[in-house]
Amino acid sequence: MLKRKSFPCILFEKYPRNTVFFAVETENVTGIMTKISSILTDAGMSILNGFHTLWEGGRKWCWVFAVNPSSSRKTVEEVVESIRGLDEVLEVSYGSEVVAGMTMPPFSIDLRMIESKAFVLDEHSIRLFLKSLWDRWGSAGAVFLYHTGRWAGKTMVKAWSRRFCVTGFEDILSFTVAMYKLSGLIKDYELKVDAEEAMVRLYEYYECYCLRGSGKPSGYLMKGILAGMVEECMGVEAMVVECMCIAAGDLYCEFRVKFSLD
Amino acid sequence: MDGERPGPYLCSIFSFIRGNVVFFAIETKNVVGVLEPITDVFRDANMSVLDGFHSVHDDGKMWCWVLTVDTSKSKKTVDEVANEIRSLPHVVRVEHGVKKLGEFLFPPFKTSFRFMGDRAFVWRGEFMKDFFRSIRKRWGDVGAVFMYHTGLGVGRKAADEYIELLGEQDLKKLLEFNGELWVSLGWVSEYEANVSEQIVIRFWDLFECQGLVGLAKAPSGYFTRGVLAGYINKISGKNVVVREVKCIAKGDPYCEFVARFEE
Repeated sequence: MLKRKSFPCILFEKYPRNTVFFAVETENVTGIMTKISSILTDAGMSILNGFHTLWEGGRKWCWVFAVNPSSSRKTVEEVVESIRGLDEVLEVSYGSEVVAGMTMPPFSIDLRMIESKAFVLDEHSIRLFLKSLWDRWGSAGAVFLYHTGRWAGKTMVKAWSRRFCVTGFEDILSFTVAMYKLSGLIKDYELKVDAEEAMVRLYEYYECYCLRGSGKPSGYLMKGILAGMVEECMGVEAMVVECMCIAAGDLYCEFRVKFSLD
Repeated sequence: MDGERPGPYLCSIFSFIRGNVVFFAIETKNVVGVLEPITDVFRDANMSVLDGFHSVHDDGKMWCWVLTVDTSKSKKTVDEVANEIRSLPHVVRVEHGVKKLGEFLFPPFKTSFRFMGDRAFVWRGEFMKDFFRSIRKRWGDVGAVFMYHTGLGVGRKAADEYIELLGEQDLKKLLEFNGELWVSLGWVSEYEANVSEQIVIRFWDLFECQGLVGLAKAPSGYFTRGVLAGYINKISGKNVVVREVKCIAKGDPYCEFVARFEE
């Protein structure tokens, strides 16, 4: 399942001091990106990481990106003036600032994913959180995560159904794992659902990925989420067992969900 | 806010895609000007570029672009466009298509997020909201204690790492570093940190409290309060008491944390 190479999205990295960040707002017109990139190419500026987004109901388009100007034949100001000179361009912000040794954009960014604000959780932060939870609370931390997940699972069922009209355990589960994959929370998945139980196999699931080397199954939040989903969709208690886990050294995490305790 | 930054500019990683839309993932060598001929192909086909992101990877040797295009007015087929892009110099790999799940469209290829060299995960605001609401609803005050003490451990460990990373012991600079990091992760939209006899830290749109707006009557940033207490304690070597005196969850415009050193 993991054979296909993924395409990386660098959300942020440690940029060299001479990096310049651009935010260009334009009317949403076919070909506008060609015009802007042509100006950057003519100047010999290399385009690094960035995002482009439609907004205002598709009427406007915004491109936020970093460039390496080290081989540039023009000044940044000249390039900005050329971009501003394009008919479709509404606004250009640019520059950089160094804070505590990090080169940052001089403007703020509103990161979004699927009609909602997006929060980035890096591997390091998750590991800090989970390790602190375990160090401070021991197995009570697992209970805390499980029951928080269970409540969240129930809430997710209601939210998916209300907002996206997705209903029924199997569809809710399929939709959830597809969203998890899109969000980078898992790399891939396999599902098998029958009348008695479901098998949920997750590749590089983030909760356990961040606790690799701990030697024990660690997907308590996911166990709770699955249990909560079953309860909300089917009205029965579920028993969820994580029978394989990357934190314990397995190749993937596998959850077995039994729909009835009978 | 002093020196308010322009923006915010929207950066959408993926939108909910409906209609005549196709996902493309294009990997190329990282060469100046590689983007322009690709956008030319889309323009010639009259395909409109919608949302997407581009990244440099493999130590700067490779560049990749993941995007959605609107094909409703296209003069060419998607396969024709993909083949034209494949034939361009420096293009190494092109994948395209859509994966349907009900009425929703997902990319048929895999993407992976990175932040400061680490793997990164994206929590949609809805999920973040559910997580913190679930803690409050399921655990009540016990949840607050859990989050505070977990945050305390996170803050102490983070302080150790940032002191080593930056070679810096100055509290104000380290609070600013933390603030910038949180801004770039999207956990807050802006911050202020003032260090004098007491320490005042303000966060706008704090991730922990945003989902509780309208639900809470008291300050709700327990995890953040713990993180700040652990962070300041570790850097200063002094016992510290942190209180949240303003909170967006109870209707304030920002969350304000005040830290005082204990005698």
